[in-house]
Amino acid sequence: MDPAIGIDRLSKRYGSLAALDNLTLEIDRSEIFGFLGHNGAGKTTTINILTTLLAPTSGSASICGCDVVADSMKARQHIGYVPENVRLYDSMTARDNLLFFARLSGVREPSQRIGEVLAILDCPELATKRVGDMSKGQRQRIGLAQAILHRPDVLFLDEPTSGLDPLGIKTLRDLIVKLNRTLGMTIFMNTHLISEVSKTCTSIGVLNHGRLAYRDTIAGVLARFGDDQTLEELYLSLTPAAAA
Amino acid sequence: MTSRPAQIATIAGKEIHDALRTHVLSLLTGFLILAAMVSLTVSSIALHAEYLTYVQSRDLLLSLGKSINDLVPPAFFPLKLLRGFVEHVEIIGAVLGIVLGYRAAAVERGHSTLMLIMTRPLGRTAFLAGKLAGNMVLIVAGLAATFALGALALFVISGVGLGAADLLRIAIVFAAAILYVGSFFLLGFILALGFARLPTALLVAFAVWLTLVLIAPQIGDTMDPDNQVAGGVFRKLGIAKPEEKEILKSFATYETIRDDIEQASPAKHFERFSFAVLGIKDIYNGQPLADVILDRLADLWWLLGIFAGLVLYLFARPLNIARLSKEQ
Amino acid sequence: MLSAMFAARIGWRDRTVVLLAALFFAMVLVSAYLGWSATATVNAIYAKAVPVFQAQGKPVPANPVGEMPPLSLLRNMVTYVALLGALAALVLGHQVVASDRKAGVLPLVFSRPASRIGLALGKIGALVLAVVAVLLGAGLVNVLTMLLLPGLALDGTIWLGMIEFYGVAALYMLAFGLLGAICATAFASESMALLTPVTIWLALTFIVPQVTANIGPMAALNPQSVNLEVPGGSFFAVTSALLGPLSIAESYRFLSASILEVTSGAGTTITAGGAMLSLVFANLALAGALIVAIARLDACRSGYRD
Repeated sequence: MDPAIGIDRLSKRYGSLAALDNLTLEIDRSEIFGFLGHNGAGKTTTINILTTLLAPTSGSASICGCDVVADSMKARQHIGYVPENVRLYDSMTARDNLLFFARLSGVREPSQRIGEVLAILDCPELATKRVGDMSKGQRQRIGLAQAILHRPDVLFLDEPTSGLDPLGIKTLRDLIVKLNRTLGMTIFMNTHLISEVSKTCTSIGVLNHGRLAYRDTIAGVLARFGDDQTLEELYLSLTPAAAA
Repeated sequence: MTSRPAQIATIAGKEIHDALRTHVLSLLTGFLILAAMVSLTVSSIALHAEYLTYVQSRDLLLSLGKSINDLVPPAFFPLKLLRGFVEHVEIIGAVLGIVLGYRAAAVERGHSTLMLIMTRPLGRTAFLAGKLAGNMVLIVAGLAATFALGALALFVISGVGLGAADLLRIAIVFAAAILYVGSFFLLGFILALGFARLPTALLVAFAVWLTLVLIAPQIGDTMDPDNQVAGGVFRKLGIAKPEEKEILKSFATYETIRDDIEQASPAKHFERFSFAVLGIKDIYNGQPLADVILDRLADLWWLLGIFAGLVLYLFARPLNIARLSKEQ
Repeated sequence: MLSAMFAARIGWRDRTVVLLAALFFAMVLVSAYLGWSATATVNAIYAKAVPVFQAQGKPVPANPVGEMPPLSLLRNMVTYVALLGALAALVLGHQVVASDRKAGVLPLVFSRPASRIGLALGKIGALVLAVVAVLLGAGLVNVLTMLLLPGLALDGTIWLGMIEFYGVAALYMLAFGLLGAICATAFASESMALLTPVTIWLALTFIVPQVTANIGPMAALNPQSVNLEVPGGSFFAVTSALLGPLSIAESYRFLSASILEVTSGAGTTITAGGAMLSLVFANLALAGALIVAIARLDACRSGYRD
């Protein structure tokens, strides 16, 4: 079986700046992968390439065996994506927004599916609410609903807890774990919050100036270094420039 | 996987739904209709005033026992009342097109929706086709309401029933208006997708609008040496037609430049075509429709060419999704 | 004063405003060239016509260029101020307020010990400075063009005429700048804050002249249209009496066309005093409205919805 995500010597250059430098990484199915790195390390560039939004300068990447450049339409059928600070159409209700994305994805019986997804995310009451009137946490849930409507194999989350209050962060964390455990989705999550990773993820990667500086399972990290505090120390030692 | 026509229809449907919800579209369409109606009403009132003056002069002459043979009664051609109407479509219709085009891009920019749409199994072509289709439906509907109300008002105001031939002429101008307004939609859309900052895109679109719709025709007009001297330079100098033609021969290049500046304006093509079809321009008044269209075919080709050219450009240029999704 | 200088600096840094101002300057240059080229063409036509008259043994008439009022060379400026000038002023007025609202600095400004009226007066001062700066530049280009034309002496009458024309243009542009600033302050949505004044500008330029004097939308751009006779009948008598004082586009066109001697103003009922009064009153009323709008702006919700 192909891995959920395969990345082989992936680079992205903007003129003389290397946003991503020879990144090689494989993420197995049903993992929750936390991608750590300072601002500007190349995390969002990686997600943009994996979600087919950006073409790499060199190297290749695939989702469930489908190349993101050569076979982008097939790759897109396997992915769901929640960008940072997700904003849907403010003037439309959650249901209308979800109906729009369901139809674009070719979801059968979209109305019924929207009901199911809102139930999975514990927010059926949001269906008739205008997105423009929602709190950040509520918008995040509808963003998540949009991403799982078409039953993707891999879910990409870019800084999912950014701007949420502690309760919102906890709720979202629980939902991510639920999607992974009950629906078997592989989750690829960009973050710069170390506490997030240790509480949610099964494996991590640390990106520093476009290069992969560290890769291990959370169990492996804990076995080697112990608790949260050392994970932070590990991160700071791997990204000295960012720490300074 | 959903079919491409279904995806295009979904995007077009969302576009229509979304535009109807915002006040921008209703404000501008309402404004166009208001301007068109005002223009029709005022033209007919002016014509009526002209007629009353004629009746007064006639009665005065008759009461004095004089002949009224030299008094020319005002001619009445209902379609001629549409002059201001066409000019409003030319000016405000173009603004409507630009605003729709700008809105179509602006609702996706700075939001994550463009990213989300482009991570669905949907090509860039289908996305752009859906946007174009949805907005063309809005343009056709807005113009249809304007033209239908215009035709109705013409009937009510003039009291003369419009024949099938008149309605056909109005329908042809309506079709030309769709191409014209559609071109400005494409202009607004292409600029709002291409510029780094949205407000700059809107302003550039308005600057192009000012230049093409209002300034270029006016430049051509100003460059006409005959407009420089009250009553015309040749008449002022007392130069006869044959000599005038002889003298103008040495200004052929200047005249070509002047004409080219006017030709560069799609507004001028729309205006020339519409004025000819509706008989607003005297030389076309009362001429058979087929002859008029044949004579002004170049204008129609220009309108079609500009629209088709912009459509081709829209589909040919790449979209930088990651950049467009950033907050501007 | 400080806030005026600051707002003027924001305007200068804003690329949109600079772009429109650049476009306005470009059109001033085009206008100058057109005035020059059209006059040169009439001159050339005259030169070609002289031998024809001589060959026919007819007396050679005077060169019509000599009879053209020198200020009428600027006639295109009447149109460009009405189009680009007004639109640039409108965007400038919008930016002077919108840049503060979007940057989120208003809550900070409002929490300082400075009055809102002071802030509003600062914004108005910035607008005046910007409009005057743009028009000074335009005036300089016009003076240079006139100096380049042979046989044209810049005498006191011409200088006075130019100062009068640019004074009227400044009043007209300032009115739209103030309108842009009012809408930028009062509306919750930025797109509506931009579209509403543009719509008002469209209505004043193209619709109102038709209602008051049956001047068609395209003819309304031409300063010569001041000469058109208003149709008889009670309708236009009533509309011009009611809407005339509000129709600042017509007031501006009448004043500028009269100053530049483009027209005799034969057909119109507008008077110079009435037109001036309507422009000055419009500016005072709009400045008052801007002060009220800024005073009433909700400090806690000073950003835009869109």
